[in-house]
Amino acid sequence: MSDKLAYLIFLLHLASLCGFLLAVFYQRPRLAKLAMKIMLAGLLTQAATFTLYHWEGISSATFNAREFSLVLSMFIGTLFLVFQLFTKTRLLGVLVAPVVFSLSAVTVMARDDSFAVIASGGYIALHIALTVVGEAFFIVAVLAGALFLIQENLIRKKRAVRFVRLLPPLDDLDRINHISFISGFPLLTAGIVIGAFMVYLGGNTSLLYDIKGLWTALAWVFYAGILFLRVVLGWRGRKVALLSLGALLLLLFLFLASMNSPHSWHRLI
Amino acid sequence: MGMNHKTAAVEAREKAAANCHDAPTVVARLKNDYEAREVFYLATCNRVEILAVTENVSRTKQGMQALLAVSEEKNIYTHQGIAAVSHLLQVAASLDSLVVGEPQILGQMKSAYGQTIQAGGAGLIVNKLLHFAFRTAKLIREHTRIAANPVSISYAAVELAKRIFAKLSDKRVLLAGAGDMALLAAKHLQATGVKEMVFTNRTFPLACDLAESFHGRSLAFAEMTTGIADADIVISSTGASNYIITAKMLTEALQKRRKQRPLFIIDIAVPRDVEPAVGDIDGVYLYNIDELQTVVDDNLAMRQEEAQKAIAMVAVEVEKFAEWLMSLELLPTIIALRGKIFQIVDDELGANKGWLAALPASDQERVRHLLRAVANKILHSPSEKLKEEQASDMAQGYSVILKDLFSL
Repeated sequence: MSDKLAYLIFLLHLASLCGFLLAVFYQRPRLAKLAMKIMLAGLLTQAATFTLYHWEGISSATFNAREFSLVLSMFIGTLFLVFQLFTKTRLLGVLVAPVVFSLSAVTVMARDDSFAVIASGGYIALHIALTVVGEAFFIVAVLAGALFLIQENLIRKKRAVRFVRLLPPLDDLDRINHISFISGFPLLTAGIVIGAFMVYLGGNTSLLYDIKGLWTALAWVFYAGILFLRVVLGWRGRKVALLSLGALLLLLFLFLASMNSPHSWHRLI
Repeated sequence: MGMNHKTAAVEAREKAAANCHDAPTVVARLKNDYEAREVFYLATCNRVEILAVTENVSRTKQGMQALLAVSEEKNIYTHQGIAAVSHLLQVAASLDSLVVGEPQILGQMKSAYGQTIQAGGAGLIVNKLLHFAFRTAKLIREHTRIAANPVSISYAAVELAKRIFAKLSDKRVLLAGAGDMALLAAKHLQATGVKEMVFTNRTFPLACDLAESFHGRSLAFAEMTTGIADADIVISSTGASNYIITAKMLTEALQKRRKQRPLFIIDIAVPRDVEPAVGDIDGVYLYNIDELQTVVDDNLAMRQEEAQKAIAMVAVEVEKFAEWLMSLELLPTIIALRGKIFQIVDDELGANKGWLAALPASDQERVRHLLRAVANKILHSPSEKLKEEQASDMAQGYSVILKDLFSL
């Protein structure tokens, strides 16, 4: 991938992040709108970069740290923008933009040769795509949950705060959390199942006990539990937001653990 | 000159408004009897003001005082020159209102301006000043948060509901009791287009009457638990001496509720209708009258902070208006000076037409052209200097000196 394009993406997401922060600081909804447009420009550049990269056949069978961060941030940003079509949650960007920006920083900093996955065939691509989209959904769910907790805390505090009118209604944030969970969970499940199936076909079952594999399984159980509480028992609001935040912490731990595991098959960064 | 809620009691304001009668009366009296050139008259529930443009300040002031029926000097305020411009801009921007940032004043000023035009009171200065005032008010609304936060309890309740629910059009409101403030909040909520309004009262016929007037539904007081289970927003304002909504009752109601929808309860009753422990239940947001008042007070404080920014913006706009006003004073001087010089050129050409006639026509034209060019060159520098200085303190001085030196 061209360094110039990676820097361009990085700068666009930096500008978007600044826009959202300034929108809160100066209480200017128009700035948040502008920041969203800049984020869209960044995402379109990412999509074009990704397409171009694979079109040229440079690394059609590789998926390295740069690509992982590129695709993950692309999906997180896209999901956020799609949710804007039917919710009033523009200021969720204050939490989404830092994540997208951080991932774009990884895209700039990570080396092209640090990939760990070299394979051919559709299954690996499907495994990666489903898992990444599933993870993007979960991250958006957690971010919406975090903003829900902030807004709810302010409502319960019973004091007027300057930027409070910019914050999205609890209803919308809970809806994003719900939609993200029920959409992301099946995708992640499918991704994990395909991955396990490939390992089974490959005959090397020890890979199933790979550090990241185990942690992913634990995270999947955690998410399945949240979904059960949400869909079957009807939990919503604060409890689900807190649980999803816990889930994100678990995912982060999982990510850091896989980074320090030299023999992990999934090591990307 | 005028009086407002800060300087005069409502009786004095009523008397002034009655004495002024209407814009045509004020305009006619001040223009015909008190030498005013232009007049603008504004009367609202909180203020009665007259703005006049005049050459004879003391005479016009007499007329204004007579119209405002001033019995005590302390009841009125008088601003002159730029101070009057600043005051009018602050009034338009709602900085001088009882509730800072309220939007009605601008509409009232626009309406008063329309009446002033019809009455023949508006001239060059009043027209420009009022447009400046409207523009400034718009600028302040766009660039400050002066009108951003609600400052009435009923409206604050509606705004809180909007922070919980993404849309109110699919929400049910249950109103227990019939307190004035609760009915006002219900009216605001109805204006947002809520799905259904349900009324309950110990006196069932009263609930039926309210349901009829709000096009809602009545509910027996004994069935309130069912009503709460169905509702998204509950406004309580009964005269009960004990809690009518308890934590135990609400827990039961929430069990009947589908999918733990959030519930917003506004307790406007004194003594309170809702047990405070209700606010600790997950998904239930409880605000009582004091808590709503705290929100309103915070909002008012924020508006006052924004007002400081707005006052700075008014000062900038006042400067711009002053520049324009100065340019009005210097423009006639510049025109008179040019007229005077070119008159001298024409006079001299006329006085020397005898020997000029001996010259060929083309040379005559050259001489005429030469003299005009010299005059233009001499005038260019002072004209430019006057234009530059028109906004400064020196402008007036330059104007007087030029008039004196050239007998303009």
